[in-house]
Amino acid sequence: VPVSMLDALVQDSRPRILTLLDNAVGSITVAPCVTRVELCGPLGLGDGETADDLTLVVSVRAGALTDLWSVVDSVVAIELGVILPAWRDPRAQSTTALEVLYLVAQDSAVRRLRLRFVPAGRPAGAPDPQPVRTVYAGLEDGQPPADPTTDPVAALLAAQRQRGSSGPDLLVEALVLLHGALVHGSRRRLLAAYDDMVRAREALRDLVRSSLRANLPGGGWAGLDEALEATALGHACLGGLRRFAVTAPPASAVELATAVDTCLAVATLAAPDAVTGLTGPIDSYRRYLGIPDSPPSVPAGEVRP
Amino acid sequence: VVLVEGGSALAQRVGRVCALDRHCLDRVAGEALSVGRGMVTEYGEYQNGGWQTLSLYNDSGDPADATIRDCEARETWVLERMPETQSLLRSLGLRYMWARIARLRPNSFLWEHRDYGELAERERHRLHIPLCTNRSAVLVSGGARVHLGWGGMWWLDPTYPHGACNLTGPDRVHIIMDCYGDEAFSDLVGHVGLAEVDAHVLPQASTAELTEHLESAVTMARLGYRRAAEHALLRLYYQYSLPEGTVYDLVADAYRRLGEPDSVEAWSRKKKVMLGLD
Repeated sequence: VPVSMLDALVQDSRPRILTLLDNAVGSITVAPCVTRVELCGPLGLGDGETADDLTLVVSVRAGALTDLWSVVDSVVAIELGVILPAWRDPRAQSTTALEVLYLVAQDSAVRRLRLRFVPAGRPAGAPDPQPVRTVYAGLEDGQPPADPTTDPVAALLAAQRQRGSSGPDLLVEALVLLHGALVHGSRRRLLAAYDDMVRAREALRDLVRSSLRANLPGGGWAGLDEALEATALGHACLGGLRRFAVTAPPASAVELATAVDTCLAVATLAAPDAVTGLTGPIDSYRRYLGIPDSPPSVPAGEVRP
Repeated sequence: VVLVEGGSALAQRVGRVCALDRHCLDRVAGEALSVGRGMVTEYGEYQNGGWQTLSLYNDSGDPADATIRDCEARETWVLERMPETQSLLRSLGLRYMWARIARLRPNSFLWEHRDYGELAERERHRLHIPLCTNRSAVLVSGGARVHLGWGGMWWLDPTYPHGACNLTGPDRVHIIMDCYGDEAFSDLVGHVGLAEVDAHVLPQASTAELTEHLESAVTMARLGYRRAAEHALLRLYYQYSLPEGTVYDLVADAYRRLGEPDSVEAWSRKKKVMLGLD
């Protein structure tokens, strides 16, 4: 067999997620302030067959990190395309890194791209997965930080927590976590799927609570039945929210569809502007994940041919 | 048909012509998707790379010949392999100048522009038949966003500034027909209209908002993300109702802030080309 034919076969057999890795690393490292990119998880160990998400630790010159963090969502959306707006986990425990997650379409597949930014010369720290392979090293990689006292991460994390989550943020959070629950469940990581589902429920609960001003001391579930029953809109949301609260992590596209429909029905009642503002992305999310929409309506008027 | 409120100007630019049989549309979509491999990228400076077409009617009969011009169009060999599509296009009785399958990939944009400017004065019209689409795929004209929904045929006057995007995907696939004005066309579009649900009037941008976007783009460019900086500003056309050409002025402003007079000049020239202002 001619070598070129084998090369073509090897190329065709290359896990497609490596193309996303190429694109992601190529897009981010256009900026000279990015000194190093490390790959986390099984893909970094050479297991591209089973990986369908990417976690990258991006080391950035500390003096440029604030600027880069302020524009990274736009850069990723423009260079890679995203299905939903960026999701920054408001409960992220890391104090040493800035983390953001994007749902990215690759052909018909939905990939989870997680970027973790750290000042150059500092370790990525928790959470898992940990970096296992360097996939990019810039000219400044390995040099000591110009000013080791400069670390904007704490201030940026504090600002993020201070800002809190808007209605659209919470809706995006719920949808990202539902997808995460499906992905974890399909890999038999059932406890991780359960964790995602718990947090998706909490995101929807917080959306209802903040939209309907049903604020309660403690911020949990207790007292919410009574608070929602007290108003017409709250009462309308209650059935759906209760259903969602006992929904198991989706194990199939059908179960995901049911969970997403319930979530969106409640969100539409509680925060219609949040849903309307995300009409396009939500439609894309549904299509990529094979969630059927209501049958397309045929517009009124003469039908041709 | 309920016209959009205050949308008489918009209704002069775009509207729904008629409904089409959904089974017919489904068969046409099947044919269009099966021939998609031969699509060609044309009009590169008008887009960010995700717009591809395959000609169904032109004067050469070559489907890869995709730069439209005035002509007496005939069917290309691809259309001869698409019996449902051929039948649909013939049944409309139009005098075609060009007809194309057009695919707009996810995260793809046709930037604000005018069409037909390079052609001689003549009555021409553009019709769209959406075959695959999603709610993030929209046309913008006159400060409003219109989703050309599946199930119908749409008319557009492309001599007004307009742009199209498929923001979050999946692929948008349309048949686009450019045709000459005649009795058949007039009969076809006799009931063209725009329902309120089809259009979303974009908000005006305040000076503060535009300044913030400009600052963000300059930050991107300073970090090294020059292409993203340009595209971030060009995308504002889909977010706000802006005076004609504002997005090109903003890109030029960004390069002015960066002290790059050659790029300022290049974007001023590009604005003229895109909007036919020469």
